[in-house]
Amino acid sequence: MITKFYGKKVREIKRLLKEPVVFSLVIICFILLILFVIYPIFSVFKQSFLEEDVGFIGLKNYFTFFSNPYFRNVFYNTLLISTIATIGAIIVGTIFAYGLTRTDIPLKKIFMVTAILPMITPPFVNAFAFILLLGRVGVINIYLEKFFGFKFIIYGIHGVIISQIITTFPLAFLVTSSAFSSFNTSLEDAARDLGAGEFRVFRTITLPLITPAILAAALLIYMTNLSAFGAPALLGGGISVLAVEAVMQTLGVMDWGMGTTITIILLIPSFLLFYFQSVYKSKRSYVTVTGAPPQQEQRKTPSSIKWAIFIFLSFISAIVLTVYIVIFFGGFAKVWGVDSSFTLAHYKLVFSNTWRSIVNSLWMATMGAIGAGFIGMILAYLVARRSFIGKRFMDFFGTLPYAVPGTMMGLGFVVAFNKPPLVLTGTATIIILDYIFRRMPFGFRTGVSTLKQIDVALEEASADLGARWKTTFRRIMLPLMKPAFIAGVTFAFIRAITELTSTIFLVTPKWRVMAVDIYNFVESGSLGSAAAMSTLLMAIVIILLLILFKATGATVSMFRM
Amino acid sequence: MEKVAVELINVTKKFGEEPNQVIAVDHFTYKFEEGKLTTLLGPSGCGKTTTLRCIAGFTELDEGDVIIGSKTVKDLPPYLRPTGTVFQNYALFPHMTVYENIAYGLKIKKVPEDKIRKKIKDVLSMFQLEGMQDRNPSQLSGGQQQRVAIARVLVNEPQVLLFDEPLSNLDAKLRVYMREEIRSLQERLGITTIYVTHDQEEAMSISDKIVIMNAGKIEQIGEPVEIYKKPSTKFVAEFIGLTNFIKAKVKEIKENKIIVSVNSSLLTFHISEKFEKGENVFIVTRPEMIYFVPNKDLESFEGVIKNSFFMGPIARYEIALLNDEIITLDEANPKELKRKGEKVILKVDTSSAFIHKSI
Repeated sequence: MITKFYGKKVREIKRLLKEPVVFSLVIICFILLILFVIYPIFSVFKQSFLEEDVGFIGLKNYFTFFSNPYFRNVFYNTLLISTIATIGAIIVGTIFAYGLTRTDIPLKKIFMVTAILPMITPPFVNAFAFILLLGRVGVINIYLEKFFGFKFIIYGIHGVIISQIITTFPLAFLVTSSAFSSFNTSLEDAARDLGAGEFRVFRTITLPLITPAILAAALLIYMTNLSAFGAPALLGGGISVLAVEAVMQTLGVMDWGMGTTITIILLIPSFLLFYFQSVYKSKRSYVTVTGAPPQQEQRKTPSSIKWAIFIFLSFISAIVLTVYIVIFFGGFAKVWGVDSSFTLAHYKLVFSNTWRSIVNSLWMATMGAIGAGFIGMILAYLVARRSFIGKRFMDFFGTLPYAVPGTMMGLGFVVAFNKPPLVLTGTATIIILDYIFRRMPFGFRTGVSTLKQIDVALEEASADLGARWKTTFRRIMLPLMKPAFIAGVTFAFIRAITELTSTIFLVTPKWRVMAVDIYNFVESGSLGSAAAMSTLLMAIVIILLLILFKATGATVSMFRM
Repeated sequence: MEKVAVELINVTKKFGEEPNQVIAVDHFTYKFEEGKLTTLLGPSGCGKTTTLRCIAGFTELDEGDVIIGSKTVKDLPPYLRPTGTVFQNYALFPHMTVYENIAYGLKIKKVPEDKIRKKIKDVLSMFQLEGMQDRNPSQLSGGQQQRVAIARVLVNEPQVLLFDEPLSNLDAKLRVYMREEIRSLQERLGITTIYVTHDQEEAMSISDKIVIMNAGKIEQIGEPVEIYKKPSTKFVAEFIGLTNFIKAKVKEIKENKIIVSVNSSLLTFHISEKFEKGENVFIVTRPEMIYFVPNKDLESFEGVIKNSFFMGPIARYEIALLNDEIITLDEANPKELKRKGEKVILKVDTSSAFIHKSI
């Protein structure tokens, strides 16, 4: 048995050695994953058990965290905000999905856009827009005070929750709408035929069948909410959450022991959620995607429900669109909320003072995205098509950065690479590497799912017709993987250029980027400059997306991961 | 073109690790004759496709050897084997035109461009695909895709042609048409062909030889008529067409003749095997080898119609015998349908039916 096992492994190695290209790719990927995924996480763990001048202190930091009322409060706030925001996002997303797939409400195309738009809006821009609307000098508050004599101040737990709901509901929408639309409506007809009323049909057939999709989405959204940094940092008021506290402890108080401890406390639930999500998804999905689209018949919705949904969608869409409008106008107003006369001063300032940031953001995000795309595709090919020792290890750690909070990646890179053997802090390289490895899972996963759709028989046919591995890869695999690669790179770019949580640890005065600049502008009260820069950032993202959609004919389905 | 035989010696392939190991192909030994079309026939999971993939080189053998012509190909990768495979779902490259698909193998062999053009022109007209060369595979019908898949392989002049359930994605009519095409093409080229299918009718109609497989092993090898008329195992008899197994007892043995009793009737058969007096045996007959007779005699037996189905050219009856055994009878060119409950008298065509030992 054992000799047989080794016999098989030996054969695998022998086969791999026959293909030196593949063999070296495997080795390179392992080295990269160990160096830039495992080592940073390990370094944070290690740091959380250490204290300067003292050495190993065991779990002391963890005890301090849970015995200190302030930190305990941070912990509770994080859970409270995440829980409510997740439930809210699921409700909003599901109503959107139901309205767009199952009813005949008007303006569906617009709702479709507004249900996706927040995915490309960085959370901190979203939160910043709320400040412009509902901050102390927010436009809405000015009118509220004028006419009704009160203000609705956005700062506080409620503000963070609202902002997070807007940021995360699109994910719920995507998952549930795909569940709704791959749902065979003849099942509902069968229930009606057997005598069930409309409500009973919904309760006993529709809901149970889409619940797995909703729960899977809920876990992912919860994970996003737990590690949220932008919204709580800008809208928290006096309230702190784990991700914000980790930044405060390290960059503010310089207590690296506590900072890393908080990051680990944040990592564990995120990781568990991700793990449960993947296990659950593979076990409980009723919705199977087959080639032929399932029968879908649009049934007439009772008009009261239809218009209630319409009003609700309009309200949420108004918020989503207002974010863009307010940021756009904010960049041209002299002093927001005080003097709204037109000015180009903010743009002049942004272009003169922070021109370097714009250039940096553009080229570093480009490098990061291309790197992420390439490594993702190579990992996908190896994992989906090759057998070698440690394949599951590669699969796991290739996906892991998706489940790791941005705080962990940023802090991990700082802790790991600020000392030999590899010193990278303060360089552009570390920012690019952060972009690459944080965004690689997207290309990796889309690559794997693309490869799963490419029939292995194509490769066999190619070999059968006389092509060696290299020819098959170049002539068959690469062309077929190209669309996924382009999409992967584009999305990696968008995510990289709007990345704040991890880059905030890595920027230096020399290597600043747009996202961090916007955050700093808001923090220091330069709302006009923040708005101008946010407008530029969003313009870059949207133009790029439009080019991608035009060039590849891609649709919103690409956002799914 | 040189005709070559394909010889498999003790080919064994296992999947998975113990204890959940599945032996897909179990010491398969057979020499596929040169220039002939041989079918690997069996139910799904019997190992026929794995056997084919071992010949093409997509699957590595655990044991045994594959010899094409006079040399072993066991350690050769697929791209160095002289085989050409037509896949179940055709495996046409979706990002290439029909022309590019067919030219693929020739370009790898660095055949000059003008020669490629000439060859493809010939093969396109041979397969009635003229004018299709710039289309994408997705713009072709199922039958056309099938022909492109065959053309793509043939243009490389393989010594052995392999088909992996090539017709299973086509509708019934096209399936019949295409299998005739494949057969006549194979006869014209005289190329050694191994054809995998689970459809016994397809196998019967196109094969020179049929290899019936079950659980990774060969059950029977023979020409189609032989397999149908003289199934050597119960598995083969049941897998190929409908078969009745009528319980009987050996009454008397005279030289190469045997008399068996079914209830009170006595039937005489020719035998080549040895039987003993009093032994329990089966009369193995196809539904069309039983027929109605008007009057009872010693060789006929009685039954009651349990179910009747009119199927166009034949009527099919399920008939209960006196001992409650149910048999199936096909009546060709039926004048009228007999009713449920009707009493009938039957005879077995003892020259086509045969006696099999009790299992």
